[in-house]
Amino acid sequence: MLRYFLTGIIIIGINIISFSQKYTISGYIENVESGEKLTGAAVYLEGDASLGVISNTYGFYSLTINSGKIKLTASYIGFASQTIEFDMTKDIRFNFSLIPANEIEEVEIVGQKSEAEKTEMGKINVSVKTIQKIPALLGEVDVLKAIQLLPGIQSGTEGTSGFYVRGGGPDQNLILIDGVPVYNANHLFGFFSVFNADAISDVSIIKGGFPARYGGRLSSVLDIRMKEGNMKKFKGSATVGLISSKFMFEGPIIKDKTSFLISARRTYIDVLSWPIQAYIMKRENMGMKSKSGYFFWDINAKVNHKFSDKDRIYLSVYTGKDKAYSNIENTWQGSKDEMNSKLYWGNVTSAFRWNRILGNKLFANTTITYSRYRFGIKLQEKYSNSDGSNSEEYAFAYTSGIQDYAAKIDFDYNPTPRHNIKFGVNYIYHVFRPGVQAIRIEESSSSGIDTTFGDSDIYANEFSGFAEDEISIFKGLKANIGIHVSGFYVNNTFYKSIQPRITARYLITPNWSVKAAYTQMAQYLHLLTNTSIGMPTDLWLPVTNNIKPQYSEQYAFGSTYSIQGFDFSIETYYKTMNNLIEYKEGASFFGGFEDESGKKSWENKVETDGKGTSYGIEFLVKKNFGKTTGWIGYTLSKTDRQFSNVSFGEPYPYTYDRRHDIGIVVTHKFNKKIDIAGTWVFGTGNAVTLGFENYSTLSGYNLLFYNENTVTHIEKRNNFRMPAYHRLDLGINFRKQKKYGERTWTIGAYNVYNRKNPFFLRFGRDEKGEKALYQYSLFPFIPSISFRYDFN
Amino acid sequence: MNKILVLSIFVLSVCLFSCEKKLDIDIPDSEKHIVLNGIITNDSLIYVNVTKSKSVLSNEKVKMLDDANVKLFGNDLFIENLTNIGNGVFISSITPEIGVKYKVTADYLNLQSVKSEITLKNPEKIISIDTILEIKSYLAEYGDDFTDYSMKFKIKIKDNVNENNYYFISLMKKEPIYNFDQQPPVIIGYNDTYLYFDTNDPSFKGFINSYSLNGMFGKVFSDELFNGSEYIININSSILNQNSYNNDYSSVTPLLVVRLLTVNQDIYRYITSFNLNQQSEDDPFSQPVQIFSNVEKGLGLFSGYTMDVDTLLVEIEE
Repeated sequence: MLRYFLTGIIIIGINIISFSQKYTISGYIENVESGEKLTGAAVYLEGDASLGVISNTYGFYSLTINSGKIKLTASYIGFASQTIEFDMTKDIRFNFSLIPANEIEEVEIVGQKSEAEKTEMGKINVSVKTIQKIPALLGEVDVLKAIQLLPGIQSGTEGTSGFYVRGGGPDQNLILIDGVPVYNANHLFGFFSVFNADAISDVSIIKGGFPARYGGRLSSVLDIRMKEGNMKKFKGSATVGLISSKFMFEGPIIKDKTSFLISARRTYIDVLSWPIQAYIMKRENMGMKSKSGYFFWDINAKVNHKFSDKDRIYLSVYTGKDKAYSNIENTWQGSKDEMNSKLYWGNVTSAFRWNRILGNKLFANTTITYSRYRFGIKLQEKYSNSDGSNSEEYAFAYTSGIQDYAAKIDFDYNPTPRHNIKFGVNYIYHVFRPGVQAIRIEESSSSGIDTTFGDSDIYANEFSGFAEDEISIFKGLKANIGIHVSGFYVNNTFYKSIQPRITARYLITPNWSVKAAYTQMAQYLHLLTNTSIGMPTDLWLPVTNNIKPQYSEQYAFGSTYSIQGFDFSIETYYKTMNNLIEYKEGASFFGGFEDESGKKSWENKVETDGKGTSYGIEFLVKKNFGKTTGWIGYTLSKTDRQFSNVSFGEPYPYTYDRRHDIGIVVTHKFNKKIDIAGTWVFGTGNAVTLGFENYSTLSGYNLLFYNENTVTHIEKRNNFRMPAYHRLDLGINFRKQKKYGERTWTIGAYNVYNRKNPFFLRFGRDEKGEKALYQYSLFPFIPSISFRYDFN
Repeated sequence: MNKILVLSIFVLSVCLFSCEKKLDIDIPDSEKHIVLNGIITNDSLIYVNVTKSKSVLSNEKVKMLDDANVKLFGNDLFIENLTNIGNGVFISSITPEIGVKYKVTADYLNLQSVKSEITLKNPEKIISIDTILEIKSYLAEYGDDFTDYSMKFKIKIKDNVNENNYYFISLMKKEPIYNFDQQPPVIIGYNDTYLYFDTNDPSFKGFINSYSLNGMFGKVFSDELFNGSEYIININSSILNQNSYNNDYSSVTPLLVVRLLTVNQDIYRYITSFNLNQQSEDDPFSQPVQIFSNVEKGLGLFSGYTMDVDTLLVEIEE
């Protein structure tokens, strides 16, 4: 297989070299209103749509064509197309400025490239405007929960942001914000995601047919791009919701040269509860002061500066934190006892990017990034008596996390309209902190203790390189052929992987295509978790001598048909995964298993020889234009796992094996003042392990004595299905133009028909003492209201 | 501490939102398995216990299948119908022999017939027992001083080279019971106590919980790491706990009895899975564990062992 790919790449190279001299038109495609670059916009010759390119992640395009008069069209979803005539007698630099569709509402949008024409497969873009309209839990707009509504992407546990793509685990999703990995995308145990939609410009997810430029995870790439900041004018928004408030402000520092964006969000349940806590303390006259609560906040900031048409730099930062805290002060007869505790976790990501156009055909992107996820606990107790003769202080701290320092450089090279070549290299220096504990004891009567213990930090180096070419092989047939090479060095062990990737599209008619893809992926990181929610204690750990990298292979086949603003697509896939890990039977988040030396280690808690198989078929009907937009997605799928020492080596259904999964999203704009949105989801119940029979065990002493020791017979792992999950959410926006902008009242309802969806099941006894199976549900019908003001 | 805090916060957040609903589900026909349990050995008659599984929701006692038809075969030849003696227990008239494949079948009304089989192997031998005494004294803050006579046992065994072997090891101390009405006191019997022991020996593979097999407390291990060779098992146990105020026992010389049971893989898998099942029962974050069964179409375990026994007088000298 590898040999064929290398041969293919050599042939591509020869083709490029032998191609005769042409003229090149290149530049950026941007939003005329804000100057934001448009990723994935199509630029093509009128009359021959096959001669075209797609703008890259940074909005750059380059097209080399024959001399003479041409008509060139640029189109992008949600924008009016722009067609320009050129006389190609020399290389031309031209920036397209597209007008957003909402500015030209009644104008029919023409020239939009259909989904059928795109080579990429298993990739879905979701507009941020749509995400903002989707009704959400407690009115908190959430990118990850919007993603869960797409076919092939499943939610995990009720209300949480974790997602599962084509049978893969939550650790197999590469979540990128401005190209930087985010290791824990959850606030409040996963009930909210860390992404503030106000700061986001593009969201796309790839489920299969991965281009060679992506690597490091098996199942998906969620690529979230922050807004760049408006180059033309100052804009902003402020939102007040039930649980949080947020603002976003952007604008030019130097018009058309430098811009900034900053957005921030904070919850305030804790602040609102402080007076209540103080009142209770006072009423009870407890001589005690107490302040406790929980909050999260996050900040996104970005600055970009255009030195020239050729050079541009960006600096983007995300930081966010969750914190639960309790501070208690107790004074009694002059002595004072203080107890402070806090639990915190959060991410910091930052990226410095330099875009440079090298000639007309070559675009270079150099990025230096930093990412850190940290989880910690601090407990402290101080005691001092009235005369100060005796004082004691006890402190405990625990930290775990991961830090990445990375640098990468990648290039886009468009030698001819038939070739769009990308290549680059990437290096990441990982620092894993599996868990360090510190204890400090200070007593006036003794010398005290100050010590640190726990697993030591692990340092690892990850390398990767890629090359891919999107080739028009002949009219109608286009393919993206590439190769991704990666290596991982940790504790004197080196793992490497060569991953061929190919996606091909054949255009049967201009609106109808068939597509196929084959990809291999490797993953050198594992997430150690055994809870189904996004616990902050989930631990990212590297491969080790014993725990090998995860590998996957995926085959996909599909067809796309576009007609009158509707895109119909159908995709089937078959995916295998190897070297998966899973907690050993009986192992738990609590405690650890000892190794031969008696040391408790995370490695001893996991099975390492897991295999996974996943296959399914996905249907998607999408409408992007008009007053009514949205999509209907349906997935029929099956996924299982197999470990030598789990379930006696027999394959068993994955917890999130979901036979049927439906997501319907509809938004409708009645007029400029009112629009509504609704979502309905349905999913086969999660697979759980339950036993339905009790039986006698071998007697502890002697068979001759009556033995009522019973155990529960479990047929196999995940043998039972919870009841199906379904839910309807509705939201309505009332908009009004005001002097300085637009105000919006949003009224929403989560779980409109109050469906008691299963969170977990447990055997218990009813009031008569009879045993019964109980279902616990989380969220009933929850109304919400929020106020938003967009400053123009 | 940290994990408790995390859990508390999580549980609190779940409690804030969650609501409970009694679920009306069709539980699969659960009363369909015959449960066959029996551990045989070459020096006693064959006993098997035949019961019926019950619904997990049932409050009734387990049904003993005294009316079941239970047959014994040796090397696939019918030997006899086992005789019911009440409480679901069936007994043979023969003692099993090493090397013979014994099969037990059980039928009961409409339930699926079940069968299981075992071939007893020659017992592997204990070659020697060595001990190292470690005395730890604890000065209690309140109450009596405490001395712990911790002992390291090195038990050498010989493993059969031709096959994978599985073992169950049990330690018992026999302490003399004195009649102090006579002077000097005379031994009138022995107090038998099974010793709980710890081990870091890799052949135990972290399966550290004890199990009671036919009344003997012990642990299972395999020969995976020492197949076909002599091997020294390292075990730590507290042989004698003594109150320092009572010096009457300082001269006690307990007898250590080491039993090495040669078992098969079925017992090994049953005990390891049973222990994990019990260990994880009350932990909501733990994955449930299936308990191994070797009964075809049914549940339970029908297996057996042969045994080698060695003893050692443990001299305690401070």
